[in-house]
Amino acid sequence: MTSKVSRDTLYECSNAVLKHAKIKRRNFLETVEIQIGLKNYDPQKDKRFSGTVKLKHIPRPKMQVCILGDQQHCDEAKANNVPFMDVEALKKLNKNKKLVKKLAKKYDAFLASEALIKQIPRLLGPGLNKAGKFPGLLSHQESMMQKIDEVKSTIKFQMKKVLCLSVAVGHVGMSPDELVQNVHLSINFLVSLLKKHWQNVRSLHVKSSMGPPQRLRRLRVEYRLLRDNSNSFQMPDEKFIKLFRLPKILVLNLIEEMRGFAEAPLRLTKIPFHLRVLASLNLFATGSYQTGIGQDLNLAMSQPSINM
Amino acid sequence: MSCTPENLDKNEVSSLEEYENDSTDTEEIPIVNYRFLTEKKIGGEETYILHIAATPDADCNIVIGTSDDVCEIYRLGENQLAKIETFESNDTITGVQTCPNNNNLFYCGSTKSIKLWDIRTPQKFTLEISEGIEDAKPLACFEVSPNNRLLTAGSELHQGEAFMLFWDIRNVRLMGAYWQSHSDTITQVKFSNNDVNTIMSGSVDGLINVFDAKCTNEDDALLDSFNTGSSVEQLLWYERQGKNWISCITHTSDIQLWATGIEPYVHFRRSDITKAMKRKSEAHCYIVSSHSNKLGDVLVLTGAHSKNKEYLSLMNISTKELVYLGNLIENKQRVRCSFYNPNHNLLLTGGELGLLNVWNINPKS
Repeated sequence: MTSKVSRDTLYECSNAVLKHAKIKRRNFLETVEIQIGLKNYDPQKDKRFSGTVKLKHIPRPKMQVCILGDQQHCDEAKANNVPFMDVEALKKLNKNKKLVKKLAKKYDAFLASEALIKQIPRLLGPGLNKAGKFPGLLSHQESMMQKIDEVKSTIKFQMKKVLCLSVAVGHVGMSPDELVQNVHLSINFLVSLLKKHWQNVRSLHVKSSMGPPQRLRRLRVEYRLLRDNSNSFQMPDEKFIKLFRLPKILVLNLIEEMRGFAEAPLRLTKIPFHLRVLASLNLFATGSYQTGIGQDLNLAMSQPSINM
Repeated sequence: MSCTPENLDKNEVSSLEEYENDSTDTEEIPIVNYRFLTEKKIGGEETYILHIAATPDADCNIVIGTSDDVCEIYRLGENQLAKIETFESNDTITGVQTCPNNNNLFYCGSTKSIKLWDIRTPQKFTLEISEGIEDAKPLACFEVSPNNRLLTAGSELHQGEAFMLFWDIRNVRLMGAYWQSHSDTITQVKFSNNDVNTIMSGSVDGLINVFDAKCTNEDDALLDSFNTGSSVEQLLWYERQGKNWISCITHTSDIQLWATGIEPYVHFRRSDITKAMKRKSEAHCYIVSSHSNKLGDVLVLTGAHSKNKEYLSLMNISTKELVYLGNLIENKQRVRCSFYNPNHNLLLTGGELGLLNVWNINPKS
């Protein structure tokens, strides 16, 4: 099936992205994102496509998480060299909008102890909410460092009005294995949320910040475009005979005669009948392997299509 | 489905999921099959029923909002559905509600305004509530307070801000707004049943905020914030042992119950729902909505689809457990909205085939 993205394609694309980033090194760590184009999806009718997913490897290692902690958590943060603030420090901000905004800007995310999280609207007002950085909960049952890693490896995704979505899932400093696992996990998660799953996916690309997009899917569409724009009957008579061993007029007659026996096309995008006849003729004429024919740009069909 | 990192071996990455031949039709556990009462096809082939509400009486008036931007009123009597009225909305409908103290009045909200309709004078709407300015904020949800005095609406993210607007229904006056507590589209606003001044809002940014609407200053109004860590689709207040609790459904098909505390005391993920439904593929299961019953339990309506069948089941969360209650086997569609009347055990569902279904979910019947 063409809708599957194979493991090989995943590796191929990820490697290409990483390779490109190595050749053209930038003076910052490029992020790697996946871009998904959707189809048969109506934002007016279908469910909003947004949420979060936790990845296996941290996509943004430079992310700064600040702990708003009670005494115990502050001590732990200090020991682990993690930025932290206690109740007294928060009280000093005195609901001052500018100071809260500054605090929100300074860090990428916050975690707060149970005792503190309840007081945050009172102490800071809605400042952190507005910045989209209201803290997550850090309980005493879980390890602080593990929780921080969890926050760092969780990504948010949201489809806007255009039927396209892009999410950062990694960076170019990752190993191919790590990148592939993150790409794999996020695509699988996102596709599982779509009503018709893969049938809702129009295109799929992997791309680094500055590099060119690498196509994970859509090959089928490419073939179709190529096919629609090609016409074997336009080539010179001599080459036509070489390829199909029959003159054009005879082939046309043959197609017309055989058409009555062909089943009616079910899909709009079904390969046209005359192309299927030509492909078979080509096979009989050259006796070569299917792949050779499939790669012929005059017919523009893939190997599985020839193997009908 | 291998969504969890545990399933991914370091050196072995399987090809991406196909999602075609899953959610097997075989295992059927006969529990309760709830009584199917009636069904009505609404609109054309592509019509979805996206919003539903009904009056509290047994022979109720039902209001639905469809994807064709039409709002229709049906009357349920002797297990039959009869169409009473159609109201056209020119914009995408964001929600419908019955009037808390009059069974002839219905609110229908769209992205531009909220209109009040009276079925006795269907020619023209009775009230229109909107900002009334050119660059009005596109609305995403609304709710009328239980005493029918106050109306609040949540907006889409508009020029970098998401607003919660308040109107006084009696004089259709815009009273004020909050816009500093959410960083993205507000998808839900819900008044508490017990306290008119307590309102919660949910947003795509993943936060649930609880406000005291008595305060005009947003800094003082914000009482509580809860971080769901996802994106909020639906919110419900429910009462249990004299306390107010919150049920939240996210866009990633999780359900979280919050006891105005610091963390959800129950969090069921999509995988838990799948397990409870005794199905195999997480990708084929979804949550429709949650309702509260008279005991203070949360009823969760969940669905699953396979190649040739649509399943709909009812679950119950009383303590910390998700319990499979029964099936609604006559269901034919992917359900998008539901309404539950706890006094008469009536459940109404609407969905993507444009079918309006009425069920009796009294376990004894």
